Amino acid sequence: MRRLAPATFEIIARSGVRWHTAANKAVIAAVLRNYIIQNDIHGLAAHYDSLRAQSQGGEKDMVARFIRSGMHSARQHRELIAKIVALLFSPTPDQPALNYVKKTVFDVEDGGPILGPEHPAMVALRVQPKGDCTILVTAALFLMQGACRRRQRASVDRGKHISRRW
Amino acid sequence: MLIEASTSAAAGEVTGIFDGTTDLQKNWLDLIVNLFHYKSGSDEYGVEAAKYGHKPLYVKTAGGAGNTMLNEVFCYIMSKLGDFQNLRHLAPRSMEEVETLVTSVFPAVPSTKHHIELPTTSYVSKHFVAYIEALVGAAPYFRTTDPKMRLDARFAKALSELNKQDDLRFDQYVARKLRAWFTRFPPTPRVATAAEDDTEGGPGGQGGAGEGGEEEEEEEAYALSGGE
Repeated sequence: MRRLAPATFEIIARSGVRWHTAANKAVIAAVLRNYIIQNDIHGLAAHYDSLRAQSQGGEKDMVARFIRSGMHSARQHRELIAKIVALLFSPTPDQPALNYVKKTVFDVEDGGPILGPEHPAMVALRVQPKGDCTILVTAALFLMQGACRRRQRASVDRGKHISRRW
Repeated sequence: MLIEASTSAAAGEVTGIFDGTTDLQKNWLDLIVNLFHYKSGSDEYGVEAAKYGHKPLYVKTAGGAGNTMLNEVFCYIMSKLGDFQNLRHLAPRSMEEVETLVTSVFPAVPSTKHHIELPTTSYVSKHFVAYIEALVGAAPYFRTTDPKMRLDARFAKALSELNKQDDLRFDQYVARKLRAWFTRFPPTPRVATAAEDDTEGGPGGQGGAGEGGEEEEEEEAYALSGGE
């Protein structure tokens, strides 16, 4: 998989956020095939299509393994971006590039947070509800699942009743 | 701490999983989702404490001196490309590589009996930019299990906005922005190590040590750029 890692950039550039999902298999297979042939990975350039014609399982396996590996990468991308965004809300006096961003984009001096903990918006945000809605939605879903199960059971019982009648 | 990271709980930090029901939460999330479009000095919005109460933190439809297509937050993230797992191969380490990154395309791939046809695509394509933008918008909910992350929807929205721009003009715009950024903060030469390759394939392979190295590189770049 490591030899195929450089193809990740191309797959993202072509597919975007769903680059590592099963829904994107067609693009992944086409890009990986092209990448292997263009770069002669493991000397497969001349044999790729004939090998695939003999057994398509190998390609399927390669795509599945790439997707699994891609999920790890996608998670790392999400966390890295979250950390970068968090830095915007933290003091970063020793990071000149980030301080330039803060000054140019947000007009914040000396690497200060774009919204510091004492900013009235942040003070107000700290006392905002954080999960009530989520709890309610989860509870609603749980109740709905229960209701669905009861309905399903009732429908099965009704089916038995009908079949008994016949 | 209002952005959740994997270390937040251990550090005893309060995370920011809002339900998005109040105006303030919505506005704060608007700011996060549109970090690439924020522009200082707008009359309609601002993060300045003095503006709080009578101006929102961000307005999506700000006209006049309002929003930009991509600001320096995007450029900064692109300068960290070397930290992204499996993307470091195209992280520029010289101005020549910057030029390659901003001007090159992945060539079209013809269809075969078993494979679809793929069109020519820029390295820093709209899909790529929308991917990064979607991740920025999802930062407060970066954990995969949080349903409020809505990465797909964020990506679709970002892409639809970018698609309003002509492809060629978009590529030229991105190239101009990134060239200006890397001129100010020049990329540092690649130092190939075996350890670097080893971390590539593993899950969550790059740790804090790598980031520390990046910061040192950044300081070096700062010195080279004349300390601006």
